[in-house]
This record gives sequence, structure tokens and C-alpha cells, in this order.
Amino acid sequence: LISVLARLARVPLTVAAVWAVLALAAPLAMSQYRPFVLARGIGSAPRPVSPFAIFSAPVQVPNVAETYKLPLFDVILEATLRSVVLLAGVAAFALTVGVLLGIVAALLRHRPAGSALILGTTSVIAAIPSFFLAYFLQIAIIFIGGAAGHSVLPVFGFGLDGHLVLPLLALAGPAVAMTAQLTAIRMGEVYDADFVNTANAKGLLPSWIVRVHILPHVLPVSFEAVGSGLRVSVASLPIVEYILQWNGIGLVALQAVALGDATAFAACGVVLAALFSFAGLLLDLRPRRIA
Amino acid sequence: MRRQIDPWLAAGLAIASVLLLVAFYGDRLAPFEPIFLLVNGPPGTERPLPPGQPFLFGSDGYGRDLWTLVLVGARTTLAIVGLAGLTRVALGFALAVLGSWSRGARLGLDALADLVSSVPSTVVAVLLVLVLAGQGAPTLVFAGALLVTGWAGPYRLLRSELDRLRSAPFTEGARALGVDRLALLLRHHLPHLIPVLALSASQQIAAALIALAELGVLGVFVGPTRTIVLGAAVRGVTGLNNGGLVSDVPEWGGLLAIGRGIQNLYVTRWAFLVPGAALAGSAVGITILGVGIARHYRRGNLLDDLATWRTVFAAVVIVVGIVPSFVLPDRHTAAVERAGAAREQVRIGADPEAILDSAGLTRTAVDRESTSLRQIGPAQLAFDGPGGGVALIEGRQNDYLPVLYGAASGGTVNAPVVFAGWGISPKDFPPGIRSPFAAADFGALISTWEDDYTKVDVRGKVLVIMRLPILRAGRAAAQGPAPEQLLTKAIARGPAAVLVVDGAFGQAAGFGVGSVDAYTRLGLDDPISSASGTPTFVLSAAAGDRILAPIGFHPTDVLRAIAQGDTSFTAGRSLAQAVPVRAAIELPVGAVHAISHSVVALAPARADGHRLVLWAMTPSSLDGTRGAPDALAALLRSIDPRASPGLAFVLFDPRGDPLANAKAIKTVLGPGSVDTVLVIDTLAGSRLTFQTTYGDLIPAIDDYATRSGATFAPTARTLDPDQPTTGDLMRETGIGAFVDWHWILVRASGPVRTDAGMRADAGALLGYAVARFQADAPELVGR
Repeated sequence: LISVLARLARVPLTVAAVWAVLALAAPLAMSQYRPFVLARGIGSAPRPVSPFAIFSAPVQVPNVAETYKLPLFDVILEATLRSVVLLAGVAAFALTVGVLLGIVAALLRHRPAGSALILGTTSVIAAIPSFFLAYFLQIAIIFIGGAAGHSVLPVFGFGLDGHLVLPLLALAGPAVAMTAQLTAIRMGEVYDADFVNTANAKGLLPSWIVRVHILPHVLPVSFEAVGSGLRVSVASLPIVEYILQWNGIGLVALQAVALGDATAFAACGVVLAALFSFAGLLLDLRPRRIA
Repeated sequence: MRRQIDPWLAAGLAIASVLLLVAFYGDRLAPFEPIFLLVNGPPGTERPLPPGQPFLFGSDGYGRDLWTLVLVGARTTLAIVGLAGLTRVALGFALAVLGSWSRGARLGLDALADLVSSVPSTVVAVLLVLVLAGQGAPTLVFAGALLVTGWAGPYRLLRSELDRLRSAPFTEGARALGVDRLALLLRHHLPHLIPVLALSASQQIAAALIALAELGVLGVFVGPTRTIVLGAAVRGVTGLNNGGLVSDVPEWGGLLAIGRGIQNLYVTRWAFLVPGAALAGSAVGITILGVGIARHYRRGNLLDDLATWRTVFAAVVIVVGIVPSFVLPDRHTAAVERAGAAREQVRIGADPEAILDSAGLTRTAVDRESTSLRQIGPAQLAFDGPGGGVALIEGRQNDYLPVLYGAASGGTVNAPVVFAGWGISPKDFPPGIRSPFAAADFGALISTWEDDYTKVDVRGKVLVIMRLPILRAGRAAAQGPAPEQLLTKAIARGPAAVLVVDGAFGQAAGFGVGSVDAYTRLGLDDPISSASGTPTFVLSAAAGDRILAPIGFHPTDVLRAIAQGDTSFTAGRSLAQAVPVRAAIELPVGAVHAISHSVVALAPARADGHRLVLWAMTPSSLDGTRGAPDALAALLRSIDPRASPGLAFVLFDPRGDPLANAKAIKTVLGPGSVDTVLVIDTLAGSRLTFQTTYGDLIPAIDDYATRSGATFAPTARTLDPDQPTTGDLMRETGIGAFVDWHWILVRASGPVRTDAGMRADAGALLGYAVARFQADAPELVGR
């Protein structure tokens, strides 16, 4: 219990420490450069009316609250909710698709071509940076849309509809890949264990064996993989949100850096640290066996 | 028994060899140079140019060959990420050792690792690169930025590995034998850590590559940037990207920054994909190498292998492969030698005309004689009143400028000051015929206004008025009076002098190459006709504040209020009143008789018709010095001008009317294509500076200056042709006569050196440029 409480306490402690460091260091650091307005998204870099506007009279740069024309608290709250929606989707997606892929790979473990295809594909996805994945997905959707003659999916922007698909896939890629790989490895081990052989010898249904005897041993590892994947997703959040123009906390953090808004940056840092620590907590507090 | 090399290691080593080759020889393998910007591509193509001809992998938005940029940028990119990745692992390893030796340190380091890894590294890297960007050492800046958060990963991995090794039986045995912990680490633990270290290093280098790419996507460049604007160089519509920031350091992240944008997503994808593929391919290759080392040394000791002949042979191969990249002569050795030869020929007070004669070139003298009325000395504007004296400073960047045009003139005045508000009398601006297309008629809007000139007597006094920028009345709005109307009406009322306060002081009146402000334009359209008359000046709003302070009137506040929509100052009530101040004004104007003697000498024409014009100002337009002819003479001594086809030598005398003089020279140069005009002006200073409205020339001229060994200030931006200061510069140097030719103005700035250093630098620069022109350098003749 003490160990669990200590691990639980790490989240607020880390968040408080991040807040303290950012509150002290961010204003000092941001006074060292000239603020600028971050061009938003790979698809929407605005062109100045005159290219010489770049070095004409210094532009008055607003802060984050002025940019969104909302109080800072509302901006951070909305952005956090948008990012949490995304990360929750990533977790659900990784847990379902990743575990299913892992199970399939484990079942095909004696067929090298099949398992190699799944594990090879997941290895490549895990190795590709999320922002490349986002960019490739954008291009793929544009291609498909071009071939179909109509828009298939929105390639950037915010919305709890079709807009959700691309950021979700871009962020979930590494999490799905890690979950699939670890699930496959663990499931392969458990499949070859004596108690599974005994269960098979008893003539139990394969679905029963998987559900009752194998998954309780595999799911903790899958949860751990989702936790690790979520940490990667949180780390990739700013760049993916930036490219796909998803107005989440990562994008607001980048805008705060560009605008030199230390308060907004500290707030974003606290939220991101909380999300990161929460993903870590998922890793730390995983049950040894899920019945 | 010799172990078979792991296939992953073999593949990794092969990829690493390719990366090393590209890093050390990329600039020599590149088909073009990054200083060549093909602004106007083949007919029917737009920038970025598509893969094919002339560029195999297409061009970026500025018309630079992407394949060249990738090859040339490899060295910097791989140096940056290699240093960043290895430093992360080294620091992580050092801290892991510390953490494994001391429990207290471990607790602190664990907490710190949690802290630094809880904020995404991209955000932290962006912040730190911005903070450290001014440090001028991009590789170190980037490595430092990534180090702040990046050490935590290797630290955790290596500390857990050290924990595992600490409890191993062989560790206990070594301890029992009295081996100290440093020896234990180096002799017993390090061989076991090699696979983890190799894997971690490759992961961190790949992570640094990705971070570099992310910074590029965000448009945050590593190192200094310059503003390249291609508008002046564009013929027709060729490309959307006519201006923006370009990283001074050629690295792949910067290419991604340029390669983003809506058109790069839908149409010109190669602009993003080519550097992206280079980044991704390198990341995969480095990861494979790390995995290979880890697999190969899973059960072997790297340190044992290091002492074998195979390793020595591999090291020799690498050294032999790399050393030539430092030893082999530069790509443009001939041009560098020519620059050195020109540098050695510099003499102060040379006579380039005699050298042209001795070289057997035919000189054409362009002599012009002109007489014109103009300002012959600095103007004085001083005020004395109850609040004390006020002295204003002449200059576009300062307080005031004289307005010399037909109705105005020079003279000396000492008279009281009177303020006539907006200087508007309704009878001067009768209502016009209302057009259904016009927003509002100015005359109609002011028809009921008080007459500013009936409230105060302006005759014989120094009249101060403000120019109304815009007049709003309800939803209607009209432009204020034009400067010519305002001044002519004011001068007609008989004041001793006129001072007009204009919020647009020093700003351009229109667009186009060499634009001028509205008051300079008055003088160009209607030149001054008499040496004495009504001295007239245009003042900045801040200068107006100082003059009108005794009556509590502040033009700056009034103009700002009007800009924000305040109509209380334009409600029709006159603002005119006497000012308890006397003004002492002097504007010396006289007839200036000038004789200019310019010389043009043409080398034989090239078969392809290309020409490079070397234009030496004698005397300098800026300070009257004669350094440029010495630089040109040095070049002439170092070459055989008759055997240098395509060159044109100009000794340009700007005295009198520089524009007319330059036009006369342009006539002598005749029709035909001139690729570039190198204008050498004052060389009184300690470093060369380059100015041009042609952004495509900036990378080339900076590169030429570097390679010719000149002391120079890197050119940070393209000159804005719409700025009045550019217009002034182009008039004073005669460049305005050939704005359609690519030109670069070379001037020295900074503390003046007494030796021939700047002349030598300019001579070397000319020598290098001539050699490159003769070698058909695409940046000079490939446009």
C-alpha cells in the first residue's frame, strides 16, 4: 500500500516540480528572444502580403489569451480536453487494435511469414516519427480523395468527427505497434506454458483457453505497453497537433513558446507533465494478473 | 575461431560508410552549389521545380537543387545529430555510474530524470534553440538544447543495467578480490554495457535527427538565418515562394522548414519528401548500426576486437578515406588563386584608366556637364521659446527633411511660429462631383469647417501645419489632402517658411523599384526653380511634438487617435493658434555646376552574349573617397582584360546627376544581356557589406566573399525596393538607371582602416567573381 501511495504521490510531486521550474525559468528564458507568431500547421503556413513584411516595423505579438480571444484558463482547459480526448482515443485504439494484432501474431507464431509480416509492419510503424506518419497520412488521404473525386477525410483541423481520425492514427501508431509486439511476445510465451498444454489436453475450447487462461497473464503486459505508448504519444503531441492543426495542449505550448507567453507555457507544461506522469502511473500500477 | 559478422552489423556498417562518404565528400559530389538559385525555371514550370531537368530531385521553393542541398547539408546535419546523440549517452552514462555508486545521488537523479522527461522534448528544444540561437555555434546550441532533456532516457537504461551487473556473481567475486569500483566498472562492467551503449547511442542519434526534423517543421532554424526575397528577380509568375527565411547553416531540418506549406502538401511534395527521406533513411541506417553492434557483441567483447588487425585495417581505411576531403584542393581553386593574385596587386592611388590603356582596351569617355539648383549644405532648424531651445536634426531617420520643389526654395528665416492646424481652408477644396464609386468627397466633408487661415495670420511667419492622413465622418471616409496641394496652398498665403508635420514621414509613397516618399517625388516631378523663396520642410510627428509643446499640442497623440478612429480632432473646429516660439531656419540652396568624367571599357564579347559589369564609383557616392578604382585597378593588373571576354569595366563619376550619368553609360554598354553588375562604392571601413534587391544573389556574394578571404558582414536581408532609402541609394549610385539588371552594391562599413585592407578585399572579391564568371558559374550566367 505504501508503495502504491508513494507512486501515486509522484504525480502531484512531479507536476509541482515542473510548475516551480517553469515558473522560475520560463520568463527568464523567454526574455532572451524576440517573440513571433508561429505559422500554424504544415498545410496552412500563411504567406505575408509582402515578403518584406518580415523585416519591416516590428509586429506587436499578442499573448496566447489574446490570440484565442479567451481567458487563459479557458484556453488551457479547452486545449487540455481536446488533447485528453485524443489520448483517450489513442489508449482505446492501442488496447483494442494492438492486443488483437498481438493475439493474431502469437497465433501465427509457427507461421513465420504471417507473424513476420505483422511484427515487421509494427516495427516500421514504431520507428517512424509521428510527424512523418501524420504527413504521410495527409498525403495518402489527399491521394485517395483525388482518386475518389471527393474529400474522404479532413486532413487538418479540429472536430470530434472525421477530424479525429488522422491525429488519432498518427499518435496511436507507436502505441499500437508497441502493444502488438509486447502482447505477441508475452502471448507466445504463455501459449507454450505447461498449464495451457494441460488445458488443451483437457479438450477445453480454444476461445475459453484464450479468455480464461491466457489473457489474464497477457493483459498486464498489454497495459504496460499502452502506458509506454502513451508516453511516446504525449511526447509527440505538440508536433502532431501542430501539423494537423488540432488545437490541443501541445499546440498551445508551442504557441506559448513562440509568443514568449511564460504564464501560458508554464500552464501547458503542468498539463503535459500531468498527462505524462499519468501515463507513467499506468505503467507503475499495472496489476500482475488480470482475472 | 573468427566470428562471422552479424548481418545487421554488416548492413549498418555499409549504411554508415555511405553516410560518412556523403558527410565528407557531399559538397564535392553535389552537381550544383547551394548558392545557385534558379529563380526563373524552364518555361511552363514554377518553383519549386519538379524532379527531372535541370535538377534530378527537383528544387526547393527558392529554386535551389534539393539533391545538392541534401549532399552539402549532410556534414552539418550529421555533425549536429552525432554530437547531440553521443553527448546525451555520455552524460546519461556518467550520471548512471554516479547513481549506481551513491544512493543519495541516485534518488536526486531519479527525481530529476522524472522531471526533465515529463515535458515533451520538442517543446523544450524549441525554447532552448530560440534562447541560444544568438550564440553563433549551431552545432553546440542544438546539442545543448537536446542535452537538457535527452540524458534521462540513456540514464534510466544504463542505470538499470548497472544495477543488474552489480548483483552478478562475477561482480561479487571481483569485489572479494579487492578490485576497486572504477576498475570494476572499466574492466568488468563496461564490456557488458557495450551492446546497451551502442543501441542507446544509435537511438539517441536517431532521436536527435527526428528532433532536428521537428524543429525544421516548426520553422525554428538551427543557427542564424537570412531573409531572401526573390521578387525583383522573378520574370512572370514562377513560384509562390518569393520570400522568406533561409537557414545560414545548410542542414536538413532547415530544408523541411522551407518544404512545408500548403502547395508542398498537395502538389510539390518532393520539396518535403526529399529532405524527409534523407532524414528518415539516416535515422533507420544509424538504428540498424546500433542494433548490429548490440547483436554482434551480445556475447563478445568489443574491447577485445579493438586490439585486432582487422580493426586497425578498418581504422586505416576510414582515415585514408576521410583525410583526402581535407587535403584535396577546393572546388574553385582557380578562382581562389585569381582572388589572391588581385589582392597582391592593390596599390593606393592607382590609375585604372592608364591600366586600361596599357591593357589595350578601348576606353570610351562619358563626360557630362550639368548645372542644377540643389541644397548645398546642411539645413538648420532651431526654435527658442519659453520652454527653452529646441534644435532638430536633419535626416530621414531623424526629425526633418527639406522639401525642394517648384513652389518652395531655400533661404534664411528668423520669425515667430504660428500653428495653422490641418492647414485647411474649405475654399481651397471645393466639393467635387460625387462619384457613386468613391467612398466620400474630401471637399464635401470639410465644406463646413472653420478656415484655419482666417484664425491666424501666417504672413511673414514660420507656418506649422499637420497633414491630415484620413478624414472620417460617420461611415464615410476620405483621404486627406495630397502634400503638393497642402504645401502649395500654404506657401501661397505668404509665410516666411512652411513646416508640415506628417505621420508618414520617411515612408514610401508608392510601390515599385526605387520608390520615394511623397515629398521627394514632388521635387522629382517639379524641380526647384529658384535659389531663394519659402524654405519648406517635412517633419516627423515627434519633431512636431517638440515644437508645439508650448501650446500643449502633441501631433503624435493626435495622429494615433485618428488612426484609432477618433474624430474629435476632425470635427470642423480649427486647431490654429499662435505659438510663443521663434524659429531660426536656414536652408542653403544654390546652383551647382558639375562636370563628371566616367569611363567605359569593354572586353571582347562572349559567344553566348553573357556580360559581367564591374562598376567602380569614383568618387564614392557616400563620402567622396576613391577606393573603388584601386580595387578595379588591382583586378586589371592581375588579369589580361583582352583575354577576358564578357567583362565590362566602368569608372563611374556620380557627380552632377548620377542617374543621368548612369543612363549615359548604359547607352555605351549597349543592348544585350548583362548578367550582373558589381558596384564598388566606398571602401572606407573595416568590413565589406553587400546590398541588393536581388535576393538570389545574396548567397553567392557571401560565398564569394568567404572564399576570396574578404572581411565582410554576412548579408542578412534583401534590400526592399519599395523603401525610400533604397530609392535614395539607387539614385545616388546611379543603380536606378539599370534596375532590370542584377546588381550588388559593395560598400565598406565600420571603423575606417588606414591601410589598403578593404581595397585588397574588394579586389580579391572582384578577382574571384571574374574567375567564376569565366568558368560559367551558374549563379552568374545560369539565370
